[in-house]
Amino acid sequence: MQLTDKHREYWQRNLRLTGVLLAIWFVVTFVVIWYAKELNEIVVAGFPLAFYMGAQGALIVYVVVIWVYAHRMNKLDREYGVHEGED
Amino acid sequence: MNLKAIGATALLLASGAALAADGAVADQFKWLTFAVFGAIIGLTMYITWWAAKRVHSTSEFYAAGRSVSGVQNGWAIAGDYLSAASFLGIAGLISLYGYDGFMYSVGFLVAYITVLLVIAEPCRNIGKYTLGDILAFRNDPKKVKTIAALSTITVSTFYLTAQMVGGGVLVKTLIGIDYEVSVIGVGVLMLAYVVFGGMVATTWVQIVKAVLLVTASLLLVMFTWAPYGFSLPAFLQGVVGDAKVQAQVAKLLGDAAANMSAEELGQRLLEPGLFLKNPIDQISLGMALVFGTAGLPHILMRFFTVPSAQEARKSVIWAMAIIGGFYVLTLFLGLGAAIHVGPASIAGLDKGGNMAAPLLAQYLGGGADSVLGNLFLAFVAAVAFATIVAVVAGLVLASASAMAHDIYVGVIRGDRATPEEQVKAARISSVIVGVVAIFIGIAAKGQNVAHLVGLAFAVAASSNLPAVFLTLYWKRCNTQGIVWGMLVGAASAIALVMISPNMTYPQAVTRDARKVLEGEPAAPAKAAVPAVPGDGLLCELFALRDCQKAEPAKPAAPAREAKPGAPEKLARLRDTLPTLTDAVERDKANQEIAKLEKDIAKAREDLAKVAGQTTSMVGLEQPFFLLKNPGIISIPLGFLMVILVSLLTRDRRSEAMWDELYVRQNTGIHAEGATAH
Repeated sequence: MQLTDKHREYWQRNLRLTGVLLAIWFVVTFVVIWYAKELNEIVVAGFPLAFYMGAQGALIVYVVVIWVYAHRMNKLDREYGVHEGED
Repeated sequence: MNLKAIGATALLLASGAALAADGAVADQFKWLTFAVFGAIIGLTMYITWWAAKRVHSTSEFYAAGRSVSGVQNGWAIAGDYLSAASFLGIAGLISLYGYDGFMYSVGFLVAYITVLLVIAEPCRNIGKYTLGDILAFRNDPKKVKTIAALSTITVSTFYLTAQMVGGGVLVKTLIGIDYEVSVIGVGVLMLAYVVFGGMVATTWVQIVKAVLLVTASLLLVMFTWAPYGFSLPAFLQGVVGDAKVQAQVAKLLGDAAANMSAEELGQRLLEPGLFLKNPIDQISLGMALVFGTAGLPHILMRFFTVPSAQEARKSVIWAMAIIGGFYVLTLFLGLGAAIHVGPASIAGLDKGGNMAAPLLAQYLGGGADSVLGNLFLAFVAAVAFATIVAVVAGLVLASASAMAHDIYVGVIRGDRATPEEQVKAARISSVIVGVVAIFIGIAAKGQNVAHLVGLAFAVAASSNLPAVFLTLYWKRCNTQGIVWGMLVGAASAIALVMISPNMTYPQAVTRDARKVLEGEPAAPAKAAVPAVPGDGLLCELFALRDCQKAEPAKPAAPAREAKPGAPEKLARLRDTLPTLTDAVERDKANQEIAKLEKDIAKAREDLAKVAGQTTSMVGLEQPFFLLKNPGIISIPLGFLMVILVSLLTRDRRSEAMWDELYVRQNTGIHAEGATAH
């Protein structure tokens, strides 16, 4: 198979999207844990912030990150005509 | 300590002996447990029978004919991921340690799904059935298939052993049958799914199990939360104000709790630091979990079952939402168990807290003496059992496909085998792996296998992940690099664990046992010690000479009186027993005596076990590597080896195939499509 410029462009956009999303993922996962003690200084509704992040916040961010990825990629697939399947 | 959390299944073993006598279910309610177990086993057998009629070709056996929809695959991934360890273990950790329990469930365990963004879709696009197929796309197929199969079998065997031991102990604990019978039961059931139903049955059993697990948790959470009017702050206030919770925090903090108010103690449960004390160990474990799960062969295989890239993406969204939602539920399960059952009672039945969710179920149904309470308990237990069997089935299928597809068909037969021969080889391999798993499970009876789970993840992260990631994303990556990277990654992970605190060090065992038997001498009051800065990262990782590990500040401690040894305490208790008139006090004394007798027997047994030895298996007097998980060293090492060796060698095929891979991995054009029926 020949690699066309169109393929390269698709690949670049894919990489950029993945990079941005993984950066968000990294901050939510590792940075929050590392600074859990400092974040706990911020209190929301009587409970420390890191607690909320651990309990629900991170999970919600992960779901959003993956949803954005799938949504953008499906759009990209159609735009570049590399869409599989009938739907 | 850390590894026990993920290897919660293995932890159950600590409680096995204690529970056999007075298990979680009273004898007159055992029939209920059997009935519920029977119903769930019946359901999975029906699925297997239905699936068996549909499995004829290789693609059907390994990849369910690529006919699994995104939603279905999402549930199946969730099923694979929500092992008994995450269900029982994390609810337990939350009930005992609060915030640090969440960090397990959320911070690391769930994060891996996001890593699948990078790995899952391209893998599905270039692979066929196994990890070996992915690597063989642009490398020497025979070499990489051999090494990928070895790695798959190593990882699966470590994980499998922990699951088999955990499953055996769980069944024994809950329905009181022998450990050996339990292990054989788990093994035979799992073999039935795999051999007859292949990936079709394995997938559907996972889906059914995941649905049951989520349903059971939802029901428990509704019952727990309802009294608080479904308000989160009200529920948390309830937790903070609970006397049992405050007592647990006071116990965990020890002397430091002396100046804290009851309210402060309760609040402390929702702050970090009660369980995980060493942040470097935490990060190392986190790396192994996050990167390891993305390299686990039985999870990668899941993506070969969907028909298109769109469905692969959809399945990741569903899996993430299900697993994420489930872990929000475990927050309520764990804290609910802490309020209703109490951390002391949970830890009394099982030190690792594994019985938290089952006991909460029993409480919510009406307690240990009610039919409904025991029905709830039986249901939760049966779901946990189905979980173990289903996860084991996935692991066996992954090992068997490595043996049959990569080694036998790919390497020995040079990819020339008829579909009938391939399916036959897959079935025979499954039986071999399954029988071996049963034998290992029985041989490992009573062993502490918790660290094997951490090791499985570490090997997957240090060997499989660098190879897969670099072959997908780096043009220069080649066969030699992959072979050496995988070997060094796996070997360094295993070697570091051999010299880590996970192994048995006879001198430490002797010291602890003596402490129990002979008591501790009085200690004078200690002045406060300021924090000591460390000499750098290397000193935190290895026990080097002239190297100072960073130490946190220690508060002043008051003088301690000498503690008598257990035999002395026992004698004293026995003397006072006849003088006790109050029935409640007598009961308490009798319980105390039983506990002391157990401690003494355990200490004597430990002493006998290490008698005459002074060094660990590899000849060390104390751990040389200071972390419990090798991830922080072995993962970068795995990556580094692939990169270095690839740069030093040339492989025309690897480079020539790059363009094709480049297009295909991201577009899925020419990927293995759905087979015609």
